[in-house]
Amino acid sequence: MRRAKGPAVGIDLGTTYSCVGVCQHGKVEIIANDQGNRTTPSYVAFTDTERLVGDPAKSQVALNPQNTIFDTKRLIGRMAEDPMVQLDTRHWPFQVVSDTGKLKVQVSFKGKEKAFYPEEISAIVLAKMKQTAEAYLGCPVTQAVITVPAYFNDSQRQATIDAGTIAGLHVLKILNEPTAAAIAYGLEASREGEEQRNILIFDLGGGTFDVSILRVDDGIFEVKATAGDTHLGGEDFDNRLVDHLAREFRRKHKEDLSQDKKAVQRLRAACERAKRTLSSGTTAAISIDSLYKGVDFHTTVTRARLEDLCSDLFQATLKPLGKALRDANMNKDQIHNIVLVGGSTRIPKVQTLLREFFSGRELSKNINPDEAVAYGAAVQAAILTGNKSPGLQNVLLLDVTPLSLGIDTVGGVMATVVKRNSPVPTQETMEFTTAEDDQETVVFEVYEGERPMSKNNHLLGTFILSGLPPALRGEPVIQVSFSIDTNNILTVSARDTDTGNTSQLTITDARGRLDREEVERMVREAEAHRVQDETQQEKIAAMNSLESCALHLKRAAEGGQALDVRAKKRVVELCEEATSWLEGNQLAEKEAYEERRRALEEAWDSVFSDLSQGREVGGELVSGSAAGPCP
Amino acid sequence: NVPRKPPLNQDAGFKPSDQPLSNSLGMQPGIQRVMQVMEEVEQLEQEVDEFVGKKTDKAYRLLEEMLTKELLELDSIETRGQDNVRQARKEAVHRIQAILEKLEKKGF
Repeated sequence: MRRAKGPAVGIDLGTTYSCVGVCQHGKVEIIANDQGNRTTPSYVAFTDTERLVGDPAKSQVALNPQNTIFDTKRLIGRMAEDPMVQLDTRHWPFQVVSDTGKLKVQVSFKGKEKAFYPEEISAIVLAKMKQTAEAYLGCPVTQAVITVPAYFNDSQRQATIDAGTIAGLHVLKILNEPTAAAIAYGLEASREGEEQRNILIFDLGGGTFDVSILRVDDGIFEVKATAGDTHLGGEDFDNRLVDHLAREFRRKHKEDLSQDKKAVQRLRAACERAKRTLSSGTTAAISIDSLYKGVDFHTTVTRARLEDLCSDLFQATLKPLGKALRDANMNKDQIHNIVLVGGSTRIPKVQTLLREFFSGRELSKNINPDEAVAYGAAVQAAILTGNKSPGLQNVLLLDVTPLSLGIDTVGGVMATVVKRNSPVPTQETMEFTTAEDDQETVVFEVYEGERPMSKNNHLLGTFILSGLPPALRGEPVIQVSFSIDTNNILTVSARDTDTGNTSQLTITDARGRLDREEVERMVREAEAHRVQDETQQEKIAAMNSLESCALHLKRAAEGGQALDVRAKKRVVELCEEATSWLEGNQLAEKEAYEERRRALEEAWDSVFSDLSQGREVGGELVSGSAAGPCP
Repeated sequence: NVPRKPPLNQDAGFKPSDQPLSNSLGMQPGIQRVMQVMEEVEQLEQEVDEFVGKKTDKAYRLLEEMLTKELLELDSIETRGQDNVRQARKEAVHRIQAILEKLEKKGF
């Protein structure tokens, strides 16, 4: 493995937004992108001429809905027949297709139909986050810790690693989001006289709600339970406010604006602003001129009103809380810390409900809830790369297997080899034998899940051990090993102790994963894209340079008193010609722009030298000297 | 050791309207933002005047979207109870809506 020079970063790859942070000298920095924003929309758009990522992709979504991809996190590592996928697909303006069971999004890019795996789209977002970090750090970034929800299964985790690989990142670790948030608050360290600690992470974002209960014991994190609602968040609160104000408008002005797309769009933007205002203030003014049919809309929304409109939604967050506690077999008093994550946890009523639920307990909320996960991931990245700063020393951070793992045995019973919540990395071996006399081959079906019968659990894959010598049933000894690496990636192998024959589970496409060849192809394609993106950037630079050169010279000529009228006219003409050529040639190659610019500069030089031969010219007469007129 | 770049200023975004403008003319920031929007709108109006085509054309949708964005930008300007800001914003909204109507009539 190549030795990376730059520091490792932490990336929160979110459903709607992503965030990147770096931890240096014990201090975490959340990094702003080229638009100055500390979170980047997880959006990728394809147009006739280019590919857009982040803010520019999101801001053109209305123009290009079929080719603007978002919510990839809801697709990654899932199979086409997944009911969740089928439900989500209905709400997306872009097309999701199934390619022999694997999902792809189909877009029109540069005039051609092209399908991308979710991994490839996530890779584009990750590459953007990598680039953001590189711009800030001033050096290449090749290593990252990437976070995923605690409930992500093996194939979703593996797919996320693949996305990182395609983006040119070595994924040091896939970290659970709640674990990252707990690390951000430094909750991995045990306090004195305390053996273990239970932490509840309350994550209410723009579109998803997750509750996780973690137990930390001597620096080892264990996910005890997860619950939530995959479609509850800030956007639902906005919708309630929009509906309410549309009704108020109808009552006041006897007009129904709900069919006017532009009016609704304006109202929605105002509602989102009002909602944010109401997290700190108790009233928010709405003032939209000529909202519908020339009627102005002015009103005030109180915090109490917003709380009333959303009361059932806010209340709905408590149910998963109870469920998570029940699943973790804990009562409220056993929770030591309550951590807030996600922008919607800024809403005072949400905090109040949560505090009341925990009988007035304090909430951990002093880290920006939009950034807490990336913050923790950055700390973890620093630890894994040996960044030994005083605050981080001696912190051992481990994850556990979220589900039990085992194989199917006689009668359809699952034999658990690795128990749920085993700290990873781990390796467990168990002995098995044959069920029939002279059995030559054994089929191993690997399952994950907590149910005793295999069929109720999730089949991960199948493999065969063959070539067993004839023997009575029950005689052969077959050792089955499960090993899980630090990324929660599983390898299962079986060995016949008599012959030494070994067979191993090769991870196949059936698990929703991409095979290595495909990943390699994507890495190559991503590389090609990088070159293309760079070419594009150089082209734009050349274009801008020509444009500013033309403007600059024109201004210089017009203002230069030493130039005679004819020379002045000639330069101005040349500049105007260049400007109009530029307008008509937005898609020219970089060289063409450079060529034009050179021609322009030469023309300027010649005008200038004609002039110098005639009479003395002072440098101050014309802004910009003959040697280098262009900025 | 690679020298570290200074951290990006969060306010140094690309939204010109967010940047504090020189107050040399003694104008209120609200008015200045309205004026800035209108400068961009003037450009868009020229493009609308030159537009020939169908409602389904990309250029049509682009113009419509850009004008709508300007409308949203105006909506985000707070009047802070100042009548002149309110008046300027209102006139600007009407102007954009008139251009949007013009565009709609031109598209076939």
